[in-house]
Parts: sequence; C-alpha cells; structure tokens
Amino acid sequence: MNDKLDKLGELAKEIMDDSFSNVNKTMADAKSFNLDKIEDDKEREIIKKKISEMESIERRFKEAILKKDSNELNNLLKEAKNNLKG
Amino acid sequence: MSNISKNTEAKYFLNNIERNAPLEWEDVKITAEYENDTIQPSLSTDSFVFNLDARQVVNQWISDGLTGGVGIFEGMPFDLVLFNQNATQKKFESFLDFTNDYRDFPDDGEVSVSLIDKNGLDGFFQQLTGTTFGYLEEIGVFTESDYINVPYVVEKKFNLFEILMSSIVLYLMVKELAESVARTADAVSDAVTLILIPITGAAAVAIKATAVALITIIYTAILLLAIIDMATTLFNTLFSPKRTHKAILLKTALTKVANHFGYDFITPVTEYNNLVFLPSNPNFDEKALLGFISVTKGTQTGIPNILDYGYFTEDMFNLAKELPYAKMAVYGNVIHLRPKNDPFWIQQSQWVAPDTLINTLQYNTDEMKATRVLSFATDLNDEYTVDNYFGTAVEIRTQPVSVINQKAVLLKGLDDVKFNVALGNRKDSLNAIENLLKGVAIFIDTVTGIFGGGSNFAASINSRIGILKVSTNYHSIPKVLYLNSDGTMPTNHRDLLNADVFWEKYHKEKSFVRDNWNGQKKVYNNITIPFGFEDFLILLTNSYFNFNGIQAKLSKFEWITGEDNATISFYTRVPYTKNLQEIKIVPA
Repeated sequence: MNDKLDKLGELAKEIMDDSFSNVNKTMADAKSFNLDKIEDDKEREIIKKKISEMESIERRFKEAILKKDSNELNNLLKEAKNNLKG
Repeated sequence: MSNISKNTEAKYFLNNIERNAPLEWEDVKITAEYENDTIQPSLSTDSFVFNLDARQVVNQWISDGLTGGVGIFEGMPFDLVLFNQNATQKKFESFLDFTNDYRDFPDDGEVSVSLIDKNGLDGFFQQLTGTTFGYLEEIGVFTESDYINVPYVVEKKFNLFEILMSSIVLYLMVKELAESVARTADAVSDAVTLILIPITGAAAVAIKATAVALITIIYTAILLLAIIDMATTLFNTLFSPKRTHKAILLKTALTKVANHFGYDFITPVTEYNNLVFLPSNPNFDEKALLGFISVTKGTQTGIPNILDYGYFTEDMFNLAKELPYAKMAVYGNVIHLRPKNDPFWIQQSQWVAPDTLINTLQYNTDEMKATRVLSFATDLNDEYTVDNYFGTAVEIRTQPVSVINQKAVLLKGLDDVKFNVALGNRKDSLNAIENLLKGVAIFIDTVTGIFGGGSNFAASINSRIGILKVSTNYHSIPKVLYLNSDGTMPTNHRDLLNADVFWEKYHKEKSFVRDNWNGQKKVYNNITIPFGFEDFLILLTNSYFNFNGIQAKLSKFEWITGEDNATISFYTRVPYTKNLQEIKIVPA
C-alpha cells in the first residue's frame, strides 16, 4: 500500500509539473501574439480583455496554491470555464 | 576523648544571653537513637526546667507573638556551653521546642520545655513534615524554569480497531487518488481535444489553449487539495500527537527544598544526574465537537500533584533515600544524601570507643530476612508498566547451603521495599498504524511540496522513536525516568534504572551473603562507657567509630548530662555463619 502511495504521489507531482509547463507555454504564446494584426477593433479588444483575464486567473491561481485555498480555486475554475465559453 | 567531661562546668544561653542554669540539669537524660541505621541520631531529652529570669524570658518569647514577635511557633535559641579547667570549650546549639511538652507552672515559678538540635536532621525533617510542593510552588520556590519538558506519546496497547480503520480508509484513499489521477489525465486529454477543434483566428486558438491549460491545472489542484485534506484528517485522527509533560530532575527538587529551609544539598548518587520525577497526570485531553483531540493535556507542572506520593516534601526525600538505600546527615550547613555503603560516612568518623568490658553479645538475626523484594509500582492506567515488567522488581531469597532438619530452619521474614513510583517505557519502534500511515505521511509531504511545502508528517512519525510511551494520557502513579538532556530516553534506560540495579549497587548492603557476608553483625547492647560532652558532640555528627581496631556503628546511646558515663548500643560487621546462599529472581 505504501509503495502505491509513493508512486501516486510522484505521479500527482508529475502531472502538476506538466500542467504548469503547459500553462506557462500557452500563456507565453498568447501574450506573444501581435494584436496589431487583428484588423477588427472589436475583436482585438475582446482578445485583449481575454488575455488580461487569464493573466489575472493565473496570478490568483498561484496565490491560491500557496494558500491551499480550495474555495478560491473553485472560483477560478468557474471563471476559467466561462472564459473558455466566451 | 572525654577529657572535657571531667570537672565540667556549664553556661546556658537563652536567645544568646547567659541565664541561670536549668533546675536539676545534672539529671537531664539525652537519648540518641540511630533509627534505621542513620548516621546522625534522633534526639529526645528530658525537659529542661527554667526558673527566675530564664522562665520570664521563655514566656516573654511566647507572649511576644501577640505584639509583633515570632511567638510560640519559632524555637528560641538555647545554647549549652561546657568548659573545664583546660579551657576547652564546646557548644551545643539547639532550639527550645515549645510544641513538644511545654508546661508552665506559675505557682512554682518554673517552666518546663524540651530541646531540638539546631543542626540535626530532626529539625530538617520536622520542617519538611507537612510542607508540600504545592505550597512551595505557590510561594515561588519552584518556577517554570525548574521544570523540564518530557516529550511522550500515547499509544494504546491494543489498537486493532484503529489498524482496521486505517487499513480501510487507506485503501479507499488510494483508490480515490488513483481515480483522481485518471480523471485529471482525462481532463488534460479533453483540453488537447478542444485545442484541436478548428477555430477561426490564431489569437482565439492561443487564448483557448491557455484557458484549457488553466482549467486543467486548477482542476488538478482542487483534486489534490481535497486528497491532502482527507489524508491529513486520516493522519490526525489515527495518529496520536506527540505531547509534552512537565517534570523535574529529582535532584533539583531536593536541592530547592533544602535551600528553602536554609541548607545546601549534596548527593553523589550517579543516577540522580539523570533521574526525573514525572508527576501523575490527572488531565484528560480536550476534544472538539467531532471527538477529535483539540488540545493535548500533559502534566502542567513538574512538581508532584496532590494525589501523588511525593507531594509532601518529606516523602520525596524518603523516596530519594529508599532508592539508593541511602542515609542523610547534616555537616555544617550541608545536607548529605549518600548510599549507606558510601565510604564517605566512615571517613567522617572520629570517635574511638574506650576499652570496655563486654558482658553481652548478640547477633543481628532479626535483620535476616529470608525474602527481600525491591519493587517499583505498576500503574493500571499505563499498561506498559505491567506488560514491560522486566526490571520492575527483584526478589532475593536467602536459604541455607546445607540442612539437617528442614523443619528446624530458622530463616524467615520478608523485607518488602516498595518504591511508590513506576518506571517509564520507551518507544523503541513504529507500531502497525504508524507503519501504515508512514506511506500516507510521505504522500502528503510529497504532494504538499507541489503547493509550496508545509507538512512534515514523515519526520513527525520518526521523531517519536526514543521518547516516553504510555497507554493512556492519564497515568495515575508518578514515574521516575532516566532521561537524556533532550528529554528522550536512552535505548538502555531500563538497564540503567531498574530494581536489580538498585539491589546490586546499593541494597545488597543488607545481604547476609554478598561482599564477604557483609550484612552479618555482632550486636552489643547497653554497654556502659566513660562519656562526656565532647563524646556527645562527636556522636551527634557521625555514629561510626573504632572499637578495638574494628569499625563499629552506634545504634543508640543514653547520657545523663551530669554524669561522666553513658550506655551505648552498637554493632560490628563480623560474619558468624557461612551456611547461607542467595537466589535472585528477576520477574519478567
């Protein structure tokens, strides 16, 4: 049993590390996008707003992680889903 | 030695002022008894009778208690100074003891009162009697800085239910964790799928990918936090916390009490450098609404509580004497507590008995006990004191080597020495639950590492090794513990502190077999010898002496102060039978 727990702990850590890399990479991609290429002013503003929202979610997520704040994480999950739908 | 006794004259001082001699002082008898083989005697005297101005001073001392004086409950200094034509002068300092047989006779103009030796143990023990550690703590003699922290853990002797519970919960936890990891993997997979959905606009694709990545990591974090919460609850529920008792080094307790009464304290008993007195613990843990422990309750103070043997300071000194079969004596201002076999006692002896005609010789057959038992207490509230019994008691059986008629064997009697404290038990290894939970602890520590760290459950399990272990939090018998300076118990603590150690190092002094038949004595009772004031003063200090070139020890003497002789009783250590052998039993 203890061996399984050991492995699961390592696996959980690996998944979290991968997820962090994924977030960092996608966030960097999004932020590196040249918004001036978007001709439609309305679309450019929406994209800009979305990036800003996700930056905010990422920052609050990192804070919530350090505080182990489950409530805040649940709020962030909802916000991120809404962001995706929008 | 008794040259001062010839043609002796005396002066009497009450409260440091010379007064007229007590009436019939020549007939006052002083009896010195060395009960339990003590070094210094317990004195009893006929009362001294004072008249004239001496009576007035004595009674004034008492009546001053109404007008700001110390009054009847403090002894009045009474010094007896004897001198002779050689200008040799000796002083016996004492106090008038108004609480013992004080009587005033107004019609006769006399007052009768007894004495107590100023520097004797009697005075010290009379002060100890009724003085409690609670009182001494209340007035600030004992403070927090005198106490030491003793870490301990409560570990039930039988915890099958907890093992069963933890096994089931552990299984469910692993299962849930495995499923959670799988669900997280699915979520990641879904996110990837979402990204692959054709959408218009490169920026929108990047934003969607970021959102999916965020959702994935938040979801994973929520699941992991839930699992950490569950594992932590499991850990805290099934894993008894490490707690702390307050205790006190026995030597510190004795020293502080002696200091309080104006004495210094010395003991060479090596065990006392590490021997800690742990009071009983009547406290129950505080529990939260769901029944989990919210506040652990060890002993709150290091001194004995009112239910304990040792709460009365006299009992604590008696315990300290009984363990190493010790004697106490006062030299100058210092109380010595030393084993009876300490050569110090004999080195201090100065008196040489005069050559005397011995009419009667006896043997100390009354001190022969066929069975001797030394035992520490057991505590039903701490099952380990029963389960790990080895060293708690030792039995010595003395029997004849050869017998002609078994029915005629005269060896009998029991010497049952009970130490009213229990021994401690060390946590030597992790138990089944701890081994089960060790995996949980490592898991929690690993996963909380992802969240910036914070837990150290695995180390907290291992830190329990080497500390005191009890089966419930409320042990009812005080314990003596052999501790390292950090409060842990050495691996061999039971080898260092057990009944057999105390027998072999100290109590075997009583043995009629060991150390060349050391316990066998020839006894001489009521021998009349020339005796004087100087002899009296020497024998007040030390009862060992030289008798015809052999070491001897007094058990009693009676001296009528106006006479130049006394009757003494004493013994010498001389084997008188070798037809004895001992069998030692150490119950496990």
